[in-house]
Amino acid sequence: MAIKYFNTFDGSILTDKTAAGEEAVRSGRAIAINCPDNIESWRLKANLSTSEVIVYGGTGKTEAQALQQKADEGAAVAAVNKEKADLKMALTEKQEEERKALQATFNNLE
Amino acid sequence: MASISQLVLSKIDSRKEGLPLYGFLGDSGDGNGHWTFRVFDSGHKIVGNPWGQATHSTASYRFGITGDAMHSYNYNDFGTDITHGDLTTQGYSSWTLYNKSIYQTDQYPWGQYYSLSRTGYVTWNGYHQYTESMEYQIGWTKLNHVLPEGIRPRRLFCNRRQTLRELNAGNNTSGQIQYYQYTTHMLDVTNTYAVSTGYNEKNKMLVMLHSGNESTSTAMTIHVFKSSVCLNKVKTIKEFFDNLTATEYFTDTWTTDNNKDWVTVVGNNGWVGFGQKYGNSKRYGVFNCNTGQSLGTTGAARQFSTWQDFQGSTTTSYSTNQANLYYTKFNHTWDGTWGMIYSSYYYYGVGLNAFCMNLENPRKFISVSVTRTSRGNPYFAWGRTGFHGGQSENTDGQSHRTYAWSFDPNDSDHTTTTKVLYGNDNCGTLVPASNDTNLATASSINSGSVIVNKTGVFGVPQSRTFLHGGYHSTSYPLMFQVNWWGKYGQHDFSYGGLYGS
Repeated sequence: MAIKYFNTFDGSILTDKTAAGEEAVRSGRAIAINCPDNIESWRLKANLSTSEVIVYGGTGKTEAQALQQKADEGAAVAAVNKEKADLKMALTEKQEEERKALQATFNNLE
Repeated sequence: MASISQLVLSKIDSRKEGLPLYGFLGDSGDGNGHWTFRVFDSGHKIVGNPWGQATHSTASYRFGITGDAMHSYNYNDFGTDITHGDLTTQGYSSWTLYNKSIYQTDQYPWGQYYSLSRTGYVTWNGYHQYTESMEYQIGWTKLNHVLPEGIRPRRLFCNRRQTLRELNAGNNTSGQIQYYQYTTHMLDVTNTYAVSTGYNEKNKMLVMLHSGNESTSTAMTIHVFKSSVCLNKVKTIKEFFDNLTATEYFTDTWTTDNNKDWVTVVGNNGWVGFGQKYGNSKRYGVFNCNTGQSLGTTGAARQFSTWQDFQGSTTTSYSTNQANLYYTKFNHTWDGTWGMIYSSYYYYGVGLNAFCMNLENPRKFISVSVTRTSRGNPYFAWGRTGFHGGQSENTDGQSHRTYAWSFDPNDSDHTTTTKVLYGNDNCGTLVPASNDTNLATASSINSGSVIVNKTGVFGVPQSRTFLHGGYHSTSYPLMFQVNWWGKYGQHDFSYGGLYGS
């Protein structure tokens, strides 16, 4: 375990350097939390209400597994976005068909 | 006899721009149905010309209007979606994603992939043969300029081996304008590879770092050339060297990771900062390069304190060890009083790992950190004395935010703490119903901090721009460098400097 320092404004990691971190704690910009070893810094974030560390992917995952999880989550978000875009496109096409049908009706009336 | 208008014009620097602008692109998920490009000033107020959208079909509107053949919906070379992809661990060949890399921009007025006018006309460079381009191959040889208020580099000088060359400005291979081999002006020619060069226009000092090679040699010779004429004003480079008023050098052994990452920042007071990305971290040291003070030819006799490692958090991140275009960057604030040597926190372009230094006195510096791993954006000069950028979260449901921070332009004493001012999510706390009681005590400043010189680190909070992303649903806006910010009083009325009676 080792002390790392996290920003008080959003819980993101600030530093693992003791002097810089302690100065930030003294000025109210950071909190210090004991963190598990051998976890890449990018995976660490503070829960500011409990002053506990959150490890992305959990401590049981390796770095490679955590990166894969991040990639999978990104792909899932992209899939949801694509679904939304497809729905919008489908709606646009449906509206276009309805417009054409109305136009045809109007033409027949003439 | 000169006319009054000629006399007035001779006092006006035609290079001077108004406060920094930035471009802002939002689009729909398929990148075709909806596309909005806007340009904002430092107050996040719109400038430029409005665009209209002609169609919501696959007619490839943007292909016609912007000539965006790189990301056109059909007949595309590099995909259809330029903003929705998330740059995390990918490099430059993930073409659309890398638009959001921190390495896209620096103090020069173009991006690695594009150029953008202040009217909002963006056009991307062709990505074909990109690895042969100036930024990819030799962008790391560009001079780092310290310039007066409102001025960015308008001439492109590149220094390699012992030859200083001027190129047509931009990311192209269109040939040199001139070149000059300065070997005869060097007092020591042991190390023959120029790996970093800085120039200060106020004191006309050109400082070069030569090493034993362009990779991992730790042998360094630092050359100081001081001239009576300005490098940015001379017609020929030779003229600068013909008018040298002082030349000195010193040697040292500097731990290095890759010599192409060195950045040289020449302060107004003759102290020079040298920084580079080093592993996942960064290193910065300051040396007295003033001439005529019998300082000797060893680094030890000239160094301020000790080398300083970056004090923020680090994780896997890359530099010129992977490819030349990931070279460590330099930028400075609009007023030319603060600079930043920076690279990404995460892989090839997300987050910020930086040293910010006062350009009057580079001995005054702090680490600046943003530990993002996704949804990033480049950083730009912002306001009078600040920087911003770095964020592209989904604006569907929340206002866009940016990492923005600024310094005190008069805060140049390295024996005291550094004051950093920043925004946040709420103007009620930005301008609260209380006084800041003592600017030397961080806890008493609202939206401000004081940071210990050299060993302190500042983590930048986000602040809301209250801009929407440009599309009514999922939208991850992309921020752009603008090639000309305009002149105050002509088309820009935001701020023009300290004038008044």
